[in-house]
Amino acid sequence: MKKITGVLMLAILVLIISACSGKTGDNSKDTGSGEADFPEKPITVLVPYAPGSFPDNSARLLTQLAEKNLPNNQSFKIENVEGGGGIIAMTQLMNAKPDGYTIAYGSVSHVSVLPHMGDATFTHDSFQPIMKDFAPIPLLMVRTDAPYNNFDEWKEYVEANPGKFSYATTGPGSISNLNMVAVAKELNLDLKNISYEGGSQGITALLGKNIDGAVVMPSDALEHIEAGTLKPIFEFGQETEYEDAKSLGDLSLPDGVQAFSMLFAPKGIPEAELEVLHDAFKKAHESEEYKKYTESINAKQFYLNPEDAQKNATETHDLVGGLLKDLGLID
Amino acid sequence: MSFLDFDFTTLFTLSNLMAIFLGTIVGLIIGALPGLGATMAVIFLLPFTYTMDPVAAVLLLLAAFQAAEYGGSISAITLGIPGTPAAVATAQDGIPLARNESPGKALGISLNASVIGGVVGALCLIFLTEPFANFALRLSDPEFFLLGVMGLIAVASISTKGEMTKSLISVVLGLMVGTIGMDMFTGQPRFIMGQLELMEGLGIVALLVGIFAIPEILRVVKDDLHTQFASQASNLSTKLTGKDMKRIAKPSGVGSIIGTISGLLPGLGTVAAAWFSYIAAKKISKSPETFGKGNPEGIAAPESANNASVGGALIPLFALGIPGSVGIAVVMSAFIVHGIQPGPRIFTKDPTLTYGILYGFLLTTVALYIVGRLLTPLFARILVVPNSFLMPIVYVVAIVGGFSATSRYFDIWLSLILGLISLLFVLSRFSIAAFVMAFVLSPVIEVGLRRSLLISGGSYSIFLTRPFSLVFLIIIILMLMTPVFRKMGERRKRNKLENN
Repeated sequence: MKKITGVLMLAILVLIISACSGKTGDNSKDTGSGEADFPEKPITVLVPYAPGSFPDNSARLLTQLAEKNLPNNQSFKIENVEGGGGIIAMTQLMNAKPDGYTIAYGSVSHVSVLPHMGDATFTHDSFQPIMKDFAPIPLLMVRTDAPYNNFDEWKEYVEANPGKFSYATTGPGSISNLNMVAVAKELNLDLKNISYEGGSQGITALLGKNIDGAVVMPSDALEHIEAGTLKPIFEFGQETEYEDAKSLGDLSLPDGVQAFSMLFAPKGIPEAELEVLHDAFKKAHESEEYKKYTESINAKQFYLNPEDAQKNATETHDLVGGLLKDLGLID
Repeated sequence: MSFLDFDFTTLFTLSNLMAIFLGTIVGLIIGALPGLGATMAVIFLLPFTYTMDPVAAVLLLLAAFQAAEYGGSISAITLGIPGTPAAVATAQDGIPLARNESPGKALGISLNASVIGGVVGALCLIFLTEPFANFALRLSDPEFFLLGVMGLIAVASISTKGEMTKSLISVVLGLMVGTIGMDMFTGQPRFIMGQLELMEGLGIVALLVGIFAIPEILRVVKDDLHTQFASQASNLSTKLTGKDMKRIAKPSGVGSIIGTISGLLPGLGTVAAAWFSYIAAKKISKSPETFGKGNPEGIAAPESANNASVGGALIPLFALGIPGSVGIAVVMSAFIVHGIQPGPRIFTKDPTLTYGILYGFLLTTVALYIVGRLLTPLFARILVVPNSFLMPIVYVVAIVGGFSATSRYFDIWLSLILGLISLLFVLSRFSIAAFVMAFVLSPVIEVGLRRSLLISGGSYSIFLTRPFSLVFLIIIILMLMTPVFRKMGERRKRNKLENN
């Protein structure tokens, strides 16, 4: 009797383990080429971010909605592959069979920043974009009890105190950092960048009065804007709805680096498969539920088809290259 | 609406209670598997929450989180393989008590302490959210740096007599291994030896599997594979006597308070909670010399602390919308998918839902106690299985667990290589616990120090001008001076004796 219970326990253990690791199935098997049957098994979506992170949320929601539009009742399964700022996941995608069963939910950084930094073996046109999804516009946040009330007063303050204003970004070469550096250079401002692990860590430090500002995505800032503790003073887009803030457009500055997310397939995926995937995601992207989500995180929807998405990736790649050179991060 | 006006009938619905119990069972089992912890449990359950109603969805995850923190001690106590860095502290006394006295008793203490910790954490979350959140905001990089240093001194102070040098070597190695990966201030990779997989540092799960599971399995194989850990089923009862309960009350209380506060601080979290409370329990214990040899207080303190830290970690989430760890970030994503934004206004915007979740979180501790009492004896039974069956299964489970955390084959190799290296360490009696603690604290200390100095423009006065930082600095000096004072006192006493 004792032995039986023991064996049972172990059997349960093994069962659970196999359930947990279900997401790591093997996708390299041959799939056949019958176009009409695509997809005939679940499609793996590589997410180069930690579970629970902001892009991971978006990827999970979008794939869940897109699943309904897949033929043959098939499904997507998310695989979080972290490491090397996304290099591991995107390399995995590049080496995957272009059969449509492995795709990735990537971002601007994968096609515009990483290729310049020397560690990645891929570049802006190493993948086949499926669709451009959305992009949040970064904001420069300050505390509402700061000695300046709007952008102009802030600018005066910074000019009077060079090198004093410290702001959080997610590190040199990050989208938040590149946008701030580009503006600071145009306006000839001397600011102090402090690197944090993520947007919410920067917000925490700002709330705790350890630093003076933070460049973050709206999803990290919204709650605090509405609570009245923080306010945006600059929006890195062409226009802004915030009273005390200015935008790139207000200062007649060119576009910054958009923090877009984009779905990628390996290069060489057959037209038919690409179309099935694109249609499924486009429908999900346009659904009411997804619109509600992007509105709730204050991101703008920037749908682009595969061709235009590629153009957009290449342009951003060149823009970022120039900024990184100015920063002295690359030669 | 205040917390007393809450309509409890909205909480006690079938779907909410089902979610809590299911979450508890899944969390306990996943937590008990070596290599898989609370974070894995919530990630595993996340997809199921999308179709549930918001309160049940969040409660499912919170119940799993709560139960997995307890479950982590099961593999530490029964198999000698701590699945989480926090369980390393539990293992110090859990393993000796389980092997020498009774595995049931060790698990029973762990369960009761976990429930106490869970209740304290939940009560703090319900009643003290605002003051605690304000307190958390006042602690930043200078304080994190000093807390990290305090942790290192504490680790050195628990090393066994005569092994101090080896402990210090372990600490230094842990600090060094902790620097592997990208330097976040410059973006430059450090010591990655061309392996992009190392860009974000050594994976903690792969590391734990490597340095605990593999040497333990090899040690059992080397000794005698044809025995079993426990031969008598009578030792498996998790029921505690009144005397036991009385004994663990004080360390559990201390652990709960330390756990809640550590949970508030991102980066430190459950690991620091477990170790600080272990050390505190040893300091206040009547028999500190039995710590490390199977003292129940040494199990109660860290176990209550890691469960209390869950409630603590939820405070910044509810009050400020800030997730302190990956696990909490996953819970937060369940909020967001349901259109709820955690943050300062959640109490006024969605009071029914918010208080439903808070009181439901308190209920998860009740569920943990019931499910724990039912399932734990089954886990204790694992030790009755002959090692020749048990060890191969543990081996596979540990490796799969290590792999599933990141889905990278690289991590399997990493575990195997680290396993062989740490076997040599174990055989030459170096402290693996000190190594892990230093490894976990290494980034806290480095980032804390460097960012403090970046903000202050290179001036060390930042550590003296902030009130909490100054207090921590004084505590550190006292910690360092205590042995010196003690020695001086002893010498004076001896001189007196000689003079007489």
